[in-house]
Amino acid sequence: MTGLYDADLTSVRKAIGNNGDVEIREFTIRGTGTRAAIVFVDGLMNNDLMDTHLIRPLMLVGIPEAEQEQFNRSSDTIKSYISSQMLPVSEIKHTARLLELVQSVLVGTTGLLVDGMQGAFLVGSAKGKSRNLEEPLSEALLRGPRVGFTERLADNTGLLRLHGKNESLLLTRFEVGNRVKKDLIIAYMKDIADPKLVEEVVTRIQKLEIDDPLESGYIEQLIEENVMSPFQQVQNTERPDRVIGALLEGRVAILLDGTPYALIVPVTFSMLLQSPEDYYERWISGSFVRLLRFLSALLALLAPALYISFISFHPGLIPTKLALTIIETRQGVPFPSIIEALIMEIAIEILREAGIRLPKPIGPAMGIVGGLIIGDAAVQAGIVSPFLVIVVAVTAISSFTIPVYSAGITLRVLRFTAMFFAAVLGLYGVVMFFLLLCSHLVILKSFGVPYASPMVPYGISDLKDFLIRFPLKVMKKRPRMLKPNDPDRRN
Amino acid sequence: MNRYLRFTSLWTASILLFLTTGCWSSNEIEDVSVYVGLGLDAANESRFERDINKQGASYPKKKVLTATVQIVPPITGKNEKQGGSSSSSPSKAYLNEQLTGDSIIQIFRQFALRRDRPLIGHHLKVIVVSSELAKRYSLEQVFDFILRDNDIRPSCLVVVSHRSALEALSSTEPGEIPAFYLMGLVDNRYRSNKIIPPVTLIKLDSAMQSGESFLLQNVVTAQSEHKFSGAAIFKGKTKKWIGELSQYDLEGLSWITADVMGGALKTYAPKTGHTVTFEPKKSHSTIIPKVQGDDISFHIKVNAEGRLIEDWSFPEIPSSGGYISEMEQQFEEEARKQIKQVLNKMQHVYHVDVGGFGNEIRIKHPKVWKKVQENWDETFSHIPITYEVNMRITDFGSSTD
Repeated sequence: MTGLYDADLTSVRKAIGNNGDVEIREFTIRGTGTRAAIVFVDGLMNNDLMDTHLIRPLMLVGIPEAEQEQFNRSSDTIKSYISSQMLPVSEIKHTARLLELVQSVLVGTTGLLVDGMQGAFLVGSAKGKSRNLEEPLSEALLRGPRVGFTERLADNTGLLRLHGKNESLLLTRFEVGNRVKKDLIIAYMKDIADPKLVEEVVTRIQKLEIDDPLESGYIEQLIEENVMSPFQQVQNTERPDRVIGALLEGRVAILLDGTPYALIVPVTFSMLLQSPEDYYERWISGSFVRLLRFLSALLALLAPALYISFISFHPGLIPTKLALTIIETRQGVPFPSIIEALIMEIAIEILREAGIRLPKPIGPAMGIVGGLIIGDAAVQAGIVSPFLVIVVAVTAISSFTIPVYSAGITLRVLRFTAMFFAAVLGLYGVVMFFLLLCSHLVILKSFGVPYASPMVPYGISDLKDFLIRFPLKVMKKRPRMLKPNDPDRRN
Repeated sequence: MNRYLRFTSLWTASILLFLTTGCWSSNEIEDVSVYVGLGLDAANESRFERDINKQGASYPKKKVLTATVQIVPPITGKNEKQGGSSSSSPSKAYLNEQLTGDSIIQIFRQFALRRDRPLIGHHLKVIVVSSELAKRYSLEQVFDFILRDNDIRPSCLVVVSHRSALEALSSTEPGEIPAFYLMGLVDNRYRSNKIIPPVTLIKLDSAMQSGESFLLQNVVTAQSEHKFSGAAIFKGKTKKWIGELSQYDLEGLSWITADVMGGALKTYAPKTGHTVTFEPKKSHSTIIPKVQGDDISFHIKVNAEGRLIEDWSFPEIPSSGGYISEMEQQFEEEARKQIKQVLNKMQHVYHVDVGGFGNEIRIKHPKVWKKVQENWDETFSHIPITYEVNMRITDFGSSTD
């Protein structure tokens, strides 16, 4: 910027172009007659604040005669006088770059240009547009804090800070996005997290090349290691307590402006089947529920595949009486079991998808009614056997027990693969599929931490928090696989 | 390079895994015939067979045996089933199919010409051999295919039917599947000492391999109802049926072989002649082989505990110690009688050892066994056997006196 008031104002007008929502208000500072102008976007700015704390001091109070001389001496004195004596606003910044001025104005800051002063002031006046803190929709808990992240980054960091007095929580700010700049915060405990891990996260964030990260999902996919893997290598969550828990284990969280989903890295497979509630409940019930979830994950993955392989390849492996029942119920079913299973599985998946997309009031009703009616009618019509309906229902319900929604989707996709393996090779195929899946899980890494740990590589102390959640008093160490700076927990 | 290597090895492994597999083509469960019972009879052609033979539908064969397969569930017309209420017509829950021939596998393959759904033997529960067939042919010959076939599980039960096996696999009871019925009877061993330990295919195989004589549970049938009664004796050398032990004999045998898990030992009170019954709960027996030079002898010790469960001599007798010991002696006497009878049958009627005496010799005196092994059944029939029985009545049920 030139420092010449008229020229600057013209270039600002030019830079803003034809935007109707940007307004420029010119006035004179009382006492000296110095011309000044504020640039702001109507609607983004907090008008009350600006009226009372910017326009009022400048236009009505002005500069007393005794100090006029001091004020008018040079560009620097104007700058320091205004910033130190005339603007009772907390957030204030000075810039000499036109581009920065325009960018800031467009997100709600008010720009102040003063005749005779180099550059412009950026006065923090953005009006907070945020929704209330609500219970997270995607991760419901019975016991635990009923608060989730919101779309506003300041709220989210605030939630983390509010969690407790904690001087070691470090929130490092980054800017991502080439076209649209967004704030991104990397959160970690500075005396717990492995510095190498933090460094790795920072490098990957800095390497990001993206026009506009609309949601943390973009970041997630751009920083993960293996794009071809069906498994997510970054966990997303709406729950601040889950994030804090992860930070205390030595993990790193990534928060992005504009989304209520925070990311946690590194992630291991077992984390996807764990819920914060496991720790809030007593250890026996917590462990029981966790075991149940592992079982249901297996069911969600393999139940239809096992059905197909038993029915089509290995009738001898079904207990005799059950086999007889199945034979009787399958009389008249015109399809081989794979087609039969595909029909029902796809129907269920479509129902589920429709249930999400439908408006809230009719979504669940629609899903239940659709499921019941389709299931019953399909049996009545003789297209599928009642036994399959049970299998499909159990599978669907099992897949809903998985606490991380994206992990549930992964299992659903893999289920179809398993079904094809079963249809071609029977139980042998299912076993082969499972082996391939396991070998993939063993190779996979998330930010340098093996995905299958603590099972592979075997970490006996980390096993205390794997299938069975040991009593808190016993879990005295943080997960070793994360190589925390401070390995001891105080429980 | 590393990446390339990894990909190639992965693909090679996957392709090999795919190609080396044996099970490619699926066969839906409703498209196969599950047979749960197999009956083997001496040749007896059914009317169907005679009729089709008249039309020239025969193939070169000798008439050696008739195989009956029990197929469940019997697939009625598909439309009939769609009608919904299968309960309205409680017809037979099974289907017996019979064919005659001289090779079991050939007979089985003949079913492929008769029924649209191929037979699978994974669920075969019971094989019934008629005593008639077992008298004529060695079990080794009859069971050769069955033991070789890997469709049939080795856990399948083998029993012998007194009359034809088809009868043993038939029932007039609606909804009842005779094969399961026979299988279920075995589970009642804890209630009766007249049931011998179940002989499965694998046990039968080992019994035949060892060359010892063995027993198979005997099924008798009348008016399409079945009962386990006694056991058929198979001679170790020939594997042929040579006779039967009665229920009473089996009770005696069960004392010797320590297999008493239940049952009832009945005798009559000495003075009044009323019924008194003892229910063994625990029994232990030891067969002690004694070898002196070339002389072999056996001593059997039987200890049993149980309760006095029924006493018709009420009301006169109090449960005094004297009466109890008197009754214990009565029961011991009865058990001795049973043992004596079965030993007599084994040694003097059939000349076979089916009580496991040879086994005791084999374990305790292996060198002696080597000498006598060859002709054991004959040797056994001349060996003196002594026995003592010790019964203890430990309680009297919930009687209060």
